[in-house]
Amino acid sequence: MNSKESRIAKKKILVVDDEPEVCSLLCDFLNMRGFEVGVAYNGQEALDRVAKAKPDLITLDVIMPVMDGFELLRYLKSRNDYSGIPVIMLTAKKAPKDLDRGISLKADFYLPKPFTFDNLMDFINLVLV
Amino acid sequence: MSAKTVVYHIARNRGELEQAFSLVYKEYACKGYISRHYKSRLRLSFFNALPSTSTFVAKQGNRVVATVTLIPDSPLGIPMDKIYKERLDGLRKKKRRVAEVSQLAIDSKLFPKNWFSMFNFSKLMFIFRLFKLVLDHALYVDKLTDLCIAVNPRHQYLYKFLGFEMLGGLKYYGSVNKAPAIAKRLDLETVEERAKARRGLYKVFFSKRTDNSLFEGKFKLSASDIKYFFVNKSDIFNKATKNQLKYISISYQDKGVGKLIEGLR
Repeated sequence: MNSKESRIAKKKILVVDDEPEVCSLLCDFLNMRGFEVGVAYNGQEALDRVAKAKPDLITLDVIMPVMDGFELLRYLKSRNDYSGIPVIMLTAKKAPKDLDRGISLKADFYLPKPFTFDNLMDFINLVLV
Repeated sequence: MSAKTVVYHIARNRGELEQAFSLVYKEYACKGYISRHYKSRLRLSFFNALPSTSTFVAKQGNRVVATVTLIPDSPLGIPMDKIYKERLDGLRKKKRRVAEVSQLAIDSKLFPKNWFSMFNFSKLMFIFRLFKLVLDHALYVDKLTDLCIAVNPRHQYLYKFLGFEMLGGLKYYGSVNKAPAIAKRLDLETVEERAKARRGLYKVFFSKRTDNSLFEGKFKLSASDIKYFFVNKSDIFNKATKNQLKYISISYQDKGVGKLIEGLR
């Protein structure tokens, strides 16, 4: 484990996405880099997980059942106890109005799918290391 | 591109300034913002002649690969007064110390064309490093309260992300071939507090101040440099008003500048 990896080891990342394949790929990738990873398949489930164990960072899809990513982001950023959790949006919604909404709701970064793991990791390192 | 090979600092000699003006010309011409028939293939304006104007460069080896210019307000105003004077006057009435961020250009060969800056870490950090120089120079050297910019609406998201707010609505800017523009403004008195909402952004811009050495050695135009850029390489001084020339003349202690301007009248 290099020094950067040791600094991020055991940081908790919550992956929120309704697509099991995306969750699985992200989990494997983040686990390999030493993160503790949790998964939620919609916004409501994510809220429950955040309440139980506050993550150090959330990767958040937008289009999800029950509560979508924007709704969840708005809620998190409105709560004093959760607003400091960095959120990286990972979404197929890359139209300017969606990007604008993500920025307005104070997403830390906004990345469209498909994304590369290296690019995502660079953003995670900036936020967490 | 490896960001490690790039150094960022204030322009320190005529060559760097010329490369910066040339890059702005090349990139603006590619995007259709200016006509390609500029004789000198340099893009500069009257405001580049003011001693208060600072140009920053990103260099790979001896090559300037990106540039941005900071133009503090003066009795001559700032370039975007052309279309947003009323909005800017609103800030001036409140005694705000305003500057325009201008002439931003990045060598298009540096990043693949399909890399949108907001989505790509390397490109975003490259732009952030350049902006960090502008921000710290504005805050700690020029001691300004507001950065203003006229941008093409398609670039507005990056500025919104950086904390810029709307200053003026859609207009068509003659200085860039009537391309659409909106005016944005960054309140420097609140920007640090607002940046705390985004940890990554805060880290880049506020965890450490720019080393002063990057602002040292700012190139001061001599009479001969002024003649080179604004008389020989462009017709900027020939088209300037008496008031503009007078202001330039009194802005320099170099008597040669006064003599040069006398000769033009």
